[in-house]
Amino acid sequence: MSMPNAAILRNPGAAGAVGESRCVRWVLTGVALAFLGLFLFVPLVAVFVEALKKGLWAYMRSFSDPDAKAAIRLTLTTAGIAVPLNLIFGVAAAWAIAKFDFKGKSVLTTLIDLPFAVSPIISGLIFVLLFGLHGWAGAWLAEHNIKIIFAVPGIVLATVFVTFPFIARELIPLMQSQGTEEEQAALVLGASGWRMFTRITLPNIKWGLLYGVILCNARAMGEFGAVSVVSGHIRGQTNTIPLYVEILYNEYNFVAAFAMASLLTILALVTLAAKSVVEWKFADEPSERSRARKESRLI
Amino acid sequence: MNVQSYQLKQHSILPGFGLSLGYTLLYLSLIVLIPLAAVFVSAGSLTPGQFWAAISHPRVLASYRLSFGASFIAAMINVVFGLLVAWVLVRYRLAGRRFIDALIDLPFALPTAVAGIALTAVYAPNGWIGGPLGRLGIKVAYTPLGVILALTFIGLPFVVRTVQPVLQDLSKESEEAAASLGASAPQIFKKVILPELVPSLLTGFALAFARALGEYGSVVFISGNMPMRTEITPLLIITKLEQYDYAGATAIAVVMLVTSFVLLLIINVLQKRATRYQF
Amino acid sequence: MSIEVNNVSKTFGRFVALKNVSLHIPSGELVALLGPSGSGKTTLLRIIAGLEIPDPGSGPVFFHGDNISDRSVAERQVGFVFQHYSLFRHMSIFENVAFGLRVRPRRIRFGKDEIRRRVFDLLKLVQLEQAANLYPSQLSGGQRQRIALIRALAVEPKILLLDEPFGALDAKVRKELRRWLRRLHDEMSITSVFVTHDQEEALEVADRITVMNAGQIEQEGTPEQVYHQPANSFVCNFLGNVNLFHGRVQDGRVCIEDLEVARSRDDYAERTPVVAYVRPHDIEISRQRDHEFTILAQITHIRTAGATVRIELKRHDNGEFVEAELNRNRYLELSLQNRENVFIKLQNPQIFVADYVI
Repeated sequence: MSMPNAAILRNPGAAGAVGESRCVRWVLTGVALAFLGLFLFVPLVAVFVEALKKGLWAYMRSFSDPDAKAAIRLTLTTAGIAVPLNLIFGVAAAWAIAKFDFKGKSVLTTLIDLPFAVSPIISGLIFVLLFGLHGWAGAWLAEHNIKIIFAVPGIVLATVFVTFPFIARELIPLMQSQGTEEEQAALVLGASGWRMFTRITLPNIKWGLLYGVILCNARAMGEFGAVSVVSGHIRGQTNTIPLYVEILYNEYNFVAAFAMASLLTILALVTLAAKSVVEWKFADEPSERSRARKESRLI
Repeated sequence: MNVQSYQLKQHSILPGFGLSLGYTLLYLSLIVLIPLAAVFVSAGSLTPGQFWAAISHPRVLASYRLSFGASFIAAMINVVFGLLVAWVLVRYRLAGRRFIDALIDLPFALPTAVAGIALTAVYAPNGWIGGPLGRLGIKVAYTPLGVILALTFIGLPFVVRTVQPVLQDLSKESEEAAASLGASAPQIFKKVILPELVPSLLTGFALAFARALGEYGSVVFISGNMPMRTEITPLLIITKLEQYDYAGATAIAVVMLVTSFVLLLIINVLQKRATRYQF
Repeated sequence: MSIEVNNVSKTFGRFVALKNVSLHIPSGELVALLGPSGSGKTTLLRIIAGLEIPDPGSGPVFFHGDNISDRSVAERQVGFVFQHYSLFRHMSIFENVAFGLRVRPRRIRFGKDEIRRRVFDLLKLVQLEQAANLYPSQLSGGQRQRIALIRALAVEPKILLLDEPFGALDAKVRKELRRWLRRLHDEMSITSVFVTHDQEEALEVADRITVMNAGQIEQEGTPEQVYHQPANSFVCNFLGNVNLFHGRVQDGRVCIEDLEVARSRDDYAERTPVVAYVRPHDIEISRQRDHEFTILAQITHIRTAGATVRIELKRHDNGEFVEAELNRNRYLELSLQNRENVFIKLQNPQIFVADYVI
């Protein structure tokens, strides 16, 4: 088929003679937009309206509170540890799964998906069961005065668990659709394994990697349920930003709560923007890659 | 080549198999498998009688009813409206389509606690929408309705994102063929388009349902957490933990985990079946 | 039912697909719309079907004298066969073929038994009765297109339109399906229009051929007419292999390569450059030079595998390549060898003024 015809067929709303009447289209569009407005737009705007309710000055002051600063520090630290750890894992897992054929590959992929299927509360519970005072390693840890639960290490562990699959899920379909030919060509030309990896594989996956990291980071900073279980809510010590938001809210300090929440909201919007950029970059790639990306996008 | 690989994998000249697979399995076991096993092992320390008592207590049953019921309804709402949104985004030319499309993922990118307090602020008796609704006699916050709303928000992207690629790949020629054979627009939708969408709708439903079941952060603010009325199962687990009732918490956790794994399995099967008719 | 299209134009964004095209297709004929990609043939077909709406200002479309320009696809009662997999994937073959009969309004719908009878009659027509309960994914490409054909015919359309229906199939299957199409057409006497870019297909199957290029009709006629009496360089070039020779008008006669061709054109000025198109089977080879065999060339390649012998030659004067086609006997008679120098004679040249650049 000639190019323009194909382009028109794939274009939404193109002047086709087949389909619903214009009246029906308007109604459907209206309802869809109303639904989205109600569920997406209103809460989003509400965060900022509530945060700025008492003016810009009160908003800014929320961040100078020492507990707030501690929360921000802890969040950044946690993400700073969890994301690189999961990054290394993600790359290793994607390499093994995408470039080789072995028995049990689909089982492995399903196992990697497990943390997605587990409720955040249970994600925290499991570490309490392992490292809590009455847990398996509880006695041993108490003896050696190592605190995991109700301390930073526990928070990091829970965050690592919850964000475990993100980067791997992003990279696996991507590397699968890219195949092994380029790497094989590099090896045949004499490159060492490491060279091949850094010069061929990494540049090819850079956008998927970047997006996976951004997503992983957003989730790491925003995780609430799992961290809530393991943290103990000790002010100034074991509160991440989401936990601190909860505390402020329960104390009826709404402006401060929403101010801290607005930080995370801005992070979320940045994440969405980054996603758009990555998708735009991928728009030029062959359709298999964008389909591979779409499959990985869920959850 | 790699000595470790023997017959585990087919021969490949690419290096690093042993290293990457080994690290993957190690990390996976440490972070995921062993901790998850802890739940089942702990639950195993209960006698069947104790286990049953823990998971069938009236308060626990009430929480199941709320969690499962609200998740189901929320997922259904998302199926209907998610399909509608995906339809409008894919097939109609809309101003700001890209922007709206990017925003669909907001519930996924936004931390659950933020979503929780935002939704509560909007639907509380003095909120933007809660206020007017309250004057009409409809209470949203601190009722199961609020829980459903929060879970709808959480599950919104799932159906949209599973249906979108299928809609995009729909062969326009099938619809044109149906039209040339005399079918009207509703007939075309019902007989030609919808059957192709059913697998992805099911998958989207299952994903939204699974996510909603375990949801905590976005629900716990708007629900009010009244035992027997608006207490979701994850919250019940936390309550039991705080009371040092590890056994009870673990038992309920097992029920939730088993449900999640069954759902995960169903989702995988659905995704495989989706490609059955393709050629 | 005849088809008449008047002054139809269609633009997609900035791309002009059709420029003021008019066409008349007599009732009961099998017509090919032939042309390269982008020539507008598919657009024209879809406009006839009602799947595209022509630009405002275009003339009306008539079916047997009826102005149907305002009617929707469903109302036009045309049968349409697509290039790619338009069978309904999740329906069985039976349900696919029965579809058009089942979506009719209650009042005029046939009963279940009648529908069943009709579907099986059609399946028998293309010898696929045993496929009734199978699904499209279980059939081969050729079988699918046969089903697509009878599905379109199930609703007894007055006009059958096909958009490159065999394009996605293997060569052998293509040939077989061409025969099916021809047979079905002869049996049902239904006005049929099909779009193709394969000139061999058009020449073999169609009663009439409409050659299109860049949104316009270049020539319209029987296969013999467009092949042997092309109206311009484009048509000549598009239909079949062809060799190109340059020449000019001299002393009132056309001279190709110093050879006076017995065609005089009074309306062309002196020294007007011309091009002559000669089909490979119209190239004669001889070892002797004479007044007819004037062009010296060296044989560069001989291909004997096939129905005829293809010989590639390189001209000595300008290094251009010429393709000749001889029947086997003639080739054996001459016992030509690779790298031999021989002389070429041009027969039946189609001559046009050199304004068309390929």
